[in-house]
Amino acid sequence: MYKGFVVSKSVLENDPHFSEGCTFCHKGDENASTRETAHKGLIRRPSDDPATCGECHEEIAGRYKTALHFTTAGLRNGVVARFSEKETEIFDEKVFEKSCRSCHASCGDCHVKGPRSGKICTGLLRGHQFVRKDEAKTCGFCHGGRVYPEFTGQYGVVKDVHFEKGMSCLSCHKKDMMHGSGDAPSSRKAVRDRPKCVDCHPLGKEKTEKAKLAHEQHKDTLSCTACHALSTYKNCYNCHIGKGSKSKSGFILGRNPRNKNEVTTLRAIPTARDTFKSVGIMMEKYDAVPNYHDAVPHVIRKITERTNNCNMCHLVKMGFLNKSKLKKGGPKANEKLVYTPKPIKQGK
Amino acid sequence: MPTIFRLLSNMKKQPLILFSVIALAFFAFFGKNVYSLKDGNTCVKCHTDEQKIRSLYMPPKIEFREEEGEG
Repeated sequence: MYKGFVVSKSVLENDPHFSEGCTFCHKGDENASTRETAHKGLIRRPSDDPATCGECHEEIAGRYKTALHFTTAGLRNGVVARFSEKETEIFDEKVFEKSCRSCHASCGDCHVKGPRSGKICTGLLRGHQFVRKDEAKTCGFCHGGRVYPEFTGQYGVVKDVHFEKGMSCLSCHKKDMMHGSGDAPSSRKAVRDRPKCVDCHPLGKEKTEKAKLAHEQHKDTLSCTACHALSTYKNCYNCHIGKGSKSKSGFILGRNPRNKNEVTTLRAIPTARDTFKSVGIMMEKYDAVPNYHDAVPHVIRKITERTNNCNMCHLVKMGFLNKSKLKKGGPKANEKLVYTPKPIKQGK
Repeated sequence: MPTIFRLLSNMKKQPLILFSVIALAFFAFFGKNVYSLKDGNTCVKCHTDEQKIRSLYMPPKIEFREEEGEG
């Protein structure tokens, strides 16, 4: 979109980022008389190298180099557990750097110009003004496949209660977490200070005895989303290099792959046995890693069919993975996630 | 004597401080124009001209694929 290249005059006058001129970040030649010479040596996305912003914002840029949105380490580490050493090398060379890594967010993707998805971009956020946040155009554009439409009610039938109450992405995912803590987490599950429901909703502060009892009885064995995620959420299946995946809505409950003692909401991982076949990766350890990961669907409501009725889980077993529901041809590790709730004993 | 006059009379005795104050005031009033993005900067001339950018813009070639989603 051409508007991605139109700079607002008023921004130039008022935003201190322009005090050093365009070439401070973009290089090129601002005194040139032709388009070609002006663009010679131009850096289109200066903040792809955080050191550019680090000239002034040294501390944040230094941390951001280790943040997940920049390293995209989670994408890599999520899949390499299925590979042999040799396959990991092929993946790093042929897939990760060329595909996954190209999705990393630069400083500018969040603060200046909407990020690219494929070759599409929403353009400059506000005429090249450096903005603190604009979640709909930034977070929403990259995470628009699943989380953002779930959160805003564009995918399911209801909005997440937090969105309905006026909260947005950064209300929970704080800026310090987004900028990174400097410890280069291996995945989002390893991010220090990642948001937890109990940060705002501590146990023991429930308004009703029913809620207090339910929380006490399920403490440490059930995630918050297992009861409070309403509606269905998006799951992707059967991904292949160059062809993408197929998405399907669903609601899946099972054992948390990272904590077998907890039952939680699971999201399908679209990796199939032949996902990387076209680059010579047959995934020698495919069966070692399950095809579902513990997820926090952003469709949270205080009251759901499960909070209202214990029998939805204990009798009907709604949403619970069982052997017949497991992906056909999926890894053997999937079977370990099957959990069958027990009926409620009389008198309880 | 009011503080400001006392300060100025002290400054007379210290030419370096007086010079610094005058230079600072001069910069505050006129310094904004020392480097002006508006004048003589060809980046700004083109990139603030919506009509021009519109005429030069070439949309990217999109290769449509099956449904994909991230996040």
